[in-house]
Amino acid sequence: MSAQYHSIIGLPRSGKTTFLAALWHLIDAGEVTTKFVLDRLVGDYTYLNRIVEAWRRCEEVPRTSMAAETKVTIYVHEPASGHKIALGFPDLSGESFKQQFAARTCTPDYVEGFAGTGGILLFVTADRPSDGITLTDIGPVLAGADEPTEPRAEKEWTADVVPEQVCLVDLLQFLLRLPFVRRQRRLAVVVSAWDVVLDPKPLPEQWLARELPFLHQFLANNPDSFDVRVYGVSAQGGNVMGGQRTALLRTTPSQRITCDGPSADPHDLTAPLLWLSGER
Amino acid sequence: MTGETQKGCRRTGCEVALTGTCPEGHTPVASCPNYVDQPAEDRDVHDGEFGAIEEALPDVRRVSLPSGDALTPEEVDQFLRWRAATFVAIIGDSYSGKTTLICALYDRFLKGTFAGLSFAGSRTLVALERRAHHARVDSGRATPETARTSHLEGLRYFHFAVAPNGQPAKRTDLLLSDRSGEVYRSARNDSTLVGTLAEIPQADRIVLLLDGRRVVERTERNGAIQSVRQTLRVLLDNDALGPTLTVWVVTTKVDLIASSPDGQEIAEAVAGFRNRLSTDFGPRLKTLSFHDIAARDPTNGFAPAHGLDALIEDWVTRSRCAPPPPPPLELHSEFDRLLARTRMDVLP
Repeated sequence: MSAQYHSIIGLPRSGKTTFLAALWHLIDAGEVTTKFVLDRLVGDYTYLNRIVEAWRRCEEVPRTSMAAETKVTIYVHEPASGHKIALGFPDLSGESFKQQFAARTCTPDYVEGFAGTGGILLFVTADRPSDGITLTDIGPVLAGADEPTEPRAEKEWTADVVPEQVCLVDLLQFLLRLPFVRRQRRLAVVVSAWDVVLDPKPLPEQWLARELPFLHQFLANNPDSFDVRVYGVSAQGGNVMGGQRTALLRTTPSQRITCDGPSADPHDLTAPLLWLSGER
Repeated sequence: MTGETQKGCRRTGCEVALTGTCPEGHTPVASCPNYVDQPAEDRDVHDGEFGAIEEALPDVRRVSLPSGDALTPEEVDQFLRWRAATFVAIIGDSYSGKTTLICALYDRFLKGTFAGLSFAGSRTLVALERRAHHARVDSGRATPETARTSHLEGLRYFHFAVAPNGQPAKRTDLLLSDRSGEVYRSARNDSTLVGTLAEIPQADRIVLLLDGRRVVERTERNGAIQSVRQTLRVLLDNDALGPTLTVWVVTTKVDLIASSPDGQEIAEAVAGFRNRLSTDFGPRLKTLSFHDIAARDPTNGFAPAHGLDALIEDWVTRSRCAPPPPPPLELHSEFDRLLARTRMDVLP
């Protein structure tokens, strides 16, 4: 059996843990046809079972704290070919990526995670506030305001105010220099909370170009380093904090998952993983 | 230990807390990287708080990654061992808009492709973010400002890699110089300092900024115009600029000029200045061009980065200037003459 460890990159609340929970249910339950199925249940799955319980109840999946970071391995096989693969995921907390950007350091394990032939799952969420807004952008709004706005306290620069797409570009740029091994890597951009994107939905890549243009330009201009595909994923199937929850609970769990992207069946989260694992 | 903090400078001896002014010239003061939250009282690490000692020690188990700061000349040398770059020297008085020009370009690429170009990478994203912060809503400011470059920072470079849309192989790495306007003023006052401006002989393009805000003010107008003229003269007279070089004289903040009631008077003054500059110095350069920009018009009368498209198109599309021809060989010794007689094509 070949083992491939795919790396996960994403800032806090970008949908990493919810994706992992939904994936675990999907390949374990066998409710819908998927490109990968669970091969054998060997090892410690405490963490996966803990996060999947919340997912099955249509509750918000608990975020991964830096203390709870863990590396999970899922043994799967591809029914079409019989090919067996061990998929490894370091479930890194979003805070650890924020810290990496701010402190300009990372762990040796993180570097080691990029030494193999695995690809990268890069998480962004469609359910995101705007960031990086300039005062010039809101100039017309302020000019049209009836009442003068209250003066606010000036804030010094911190890494927390850096726009998400700038952080992600810099995290990817780290991979292009030592101590990381320089090579082309497959990179699947997973746009989580795809259900909040209004219909008619754009293609996931079009959404990326529109909403995170800096990141999109960077990926498009570095084909020697990144072979990119973009997927729109709703791992919960809708807003579990709102009125949709009852309807979601009535649905077969695997069928509330949606995945939109190249060669992806409607409920199959494994499509990006199959591609990262070498499928052309 | 109460955990309370107060703003202060971590540099020993800095009196910003007393004077309110940064001795390194950072305005606003909050833009100084050393002006940070500090404990209200100095921590005493001898009072048994070993946790404090542990915090102060670097974690040797972590791997260092690139800083993202603006590049020093030494880091630029390292960069050039990796790939070639196009150097753009941006020259102007304090507050003329040097850093604002760079930040406006950066902000424009954050929103999408620009001038037929798209963003391909930057080694200086942290520095760009720091400089752009005071023009963002997150800064808490009511009006945009750009953190001013301190004269103590010396020469730094911002890096942008761009490529024509859909053509990543045609990437251009731009290195844009950034240094305090006070240094250029000093070089005008004392021409012996021109030789210390390392960014100028290295440059493929020179951008000389005429401060539009000063041009609008009658009392400042002639001073602003004369400072550009004198800067160009001192650079030419001291062989910092040569006949193979393209120089852009760029009037900044044209939104202020456009909205001024003295618009016609200003236009005539600027036109006269440009004519005189072309006549007097144009023949000594390959090209002397003039251009207007409004990097950041708060009224949105001009689109963000107005006029910068023409500049960046020029920086990436024109071929690198031919280097000046080598000086004639002076033959002093018999060995020199032997070398001159030797047929190089028959040497092993």
